[in-house]
Amino acid sequence: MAIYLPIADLPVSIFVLLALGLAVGFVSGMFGVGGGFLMTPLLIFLGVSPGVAVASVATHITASSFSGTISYWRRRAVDIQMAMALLTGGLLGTSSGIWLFAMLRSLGQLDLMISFSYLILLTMVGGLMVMESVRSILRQRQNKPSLLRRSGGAHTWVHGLPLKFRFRRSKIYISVIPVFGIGYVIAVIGVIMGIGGGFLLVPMLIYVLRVPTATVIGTAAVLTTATMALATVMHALTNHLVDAILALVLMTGGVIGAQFGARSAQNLAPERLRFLLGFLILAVGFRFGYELITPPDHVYAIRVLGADL
Amino acid sequence: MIAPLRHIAGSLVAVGLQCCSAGAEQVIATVAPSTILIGSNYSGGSIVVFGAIANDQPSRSYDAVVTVTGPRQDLLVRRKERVLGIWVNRLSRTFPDVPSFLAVFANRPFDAIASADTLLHHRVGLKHSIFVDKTVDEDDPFATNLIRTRIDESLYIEQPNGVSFVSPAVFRVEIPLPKRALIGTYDVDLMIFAGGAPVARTRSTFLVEKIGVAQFVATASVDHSLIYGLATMGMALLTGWIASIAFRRG
Repeated sequence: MAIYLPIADLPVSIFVLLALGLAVGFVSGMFGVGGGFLMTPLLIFLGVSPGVAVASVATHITASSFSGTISYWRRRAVDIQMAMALLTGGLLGTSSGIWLFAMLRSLGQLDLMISFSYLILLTMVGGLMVMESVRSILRQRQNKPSLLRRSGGAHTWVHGLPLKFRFRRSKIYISVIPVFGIGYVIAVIGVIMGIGGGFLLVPMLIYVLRVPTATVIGTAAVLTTATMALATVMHALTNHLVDAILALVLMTGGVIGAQFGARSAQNLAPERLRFLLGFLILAVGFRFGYELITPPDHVYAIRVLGADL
Repeated sequence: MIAPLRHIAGSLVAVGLQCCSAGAEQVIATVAPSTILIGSNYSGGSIVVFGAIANDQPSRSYDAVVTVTGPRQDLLVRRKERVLGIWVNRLSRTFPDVPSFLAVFANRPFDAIASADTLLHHRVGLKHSIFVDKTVDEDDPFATNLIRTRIDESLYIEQPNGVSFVSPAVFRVEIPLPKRALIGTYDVDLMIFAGGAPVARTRSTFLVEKIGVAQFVATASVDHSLIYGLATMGMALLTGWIASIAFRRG
């Protein structure tokens, strides 16, 4: 059964869209990320133009991360002070991101920029996660303590910055400057790539700010919800590219898939989860790299002026 | 898929004699449906054009060429080149007022209907109909690739055996519309040839419109973009909230 997507201007099978939502939702529930890094490329593969894909996935992620936020809030796993600090940077970042998105689009290099950011970020983050998780799996086999455990003396340059603040729920005392900065960077990247940035945000909070694992995912979910909700409104305002029908079908599959994913994750050790997620991210990254270096099927491409890419 | 019955009104169009030479022939056409509706279950459609030649002379045998032209749009054709091992968009060319859809159907091969000069003069055939003021330059890779890509996407169709004559003076042609049909007015141009020269011509139109949810969403996203954005955001938050309640036990 085909459904006509009014903004993407394309009929797509409703079952394909629901399955896509379920599958990506499963992954996002399993790893506590939005899954945008999978959803956006898959929509482009289905024939949705990159601009509409990026904008509509922002709406989809709003739904899935808001449902996550509520669950984590109930479990008192949200550091609201840190979320607000991240958000201050994040709101600024979203505005810059929307502006940059519109500018790249007018330069005709948006698709290159999207592929390129995917390639660099995904291979880097995926590679690091795979290496880190393999190392901790090996250490566990040898009965050595986890590398992620917080030790009192483990201070980096980040801890030398001024404007320190005590984040009570996370039990850390740290400058707000890197917190603002991380919120800003994640939001800019998220808007341009059509991803919530959870797969970047969580490692940054863990490795740079040393936020404990108990509060990290819940706090990240709050930031993702807020930036993606704002991104939805701003994409709708500036580029008219948000396809509400597409987003609705995706999020319906997505929130259901996320529940099953979250349940499956409970039976897996965190290191193995990180390894699997890292591997998945790396695979998507390589796919983008492959596309950039192999000769395209069509050297000539048509773009309608004054409309979407 | 195709519009409901009430919309298949079929537009009768009076005679047009502006093109053509001496003969007394006239051509009358109906296009059905007169409006193609894109609802949330649209996945392509088609129109049927019926034509009848009036005042026909039994001694003559007629040829018909039916051209359907969709709303025109400005296109940018870009060429990817390899730079430092990566394929990036480099050169580009703009083509103004290019049809979003173009179908040229005839009852037999064009070179059998009229001479190349006649076809060019009356702008008959795919490559003479694309640009408003000129014919496609075969040596221009941007133009030829534009056409090739659009033919691959079924947006441009040239079908020399698409028109069928029901009787010597009555013909019929069914023209498929693309899944990604642009909304707007589509022109239908009928040309009748006899003995290698045009003898009658008429024009008609049909509309492609969005209806229902598809129309509502498409209009709202442009005309009330702030409300649309806020409503879409609200829908997402609501979905997330409902999901968190529905699955609370788990």
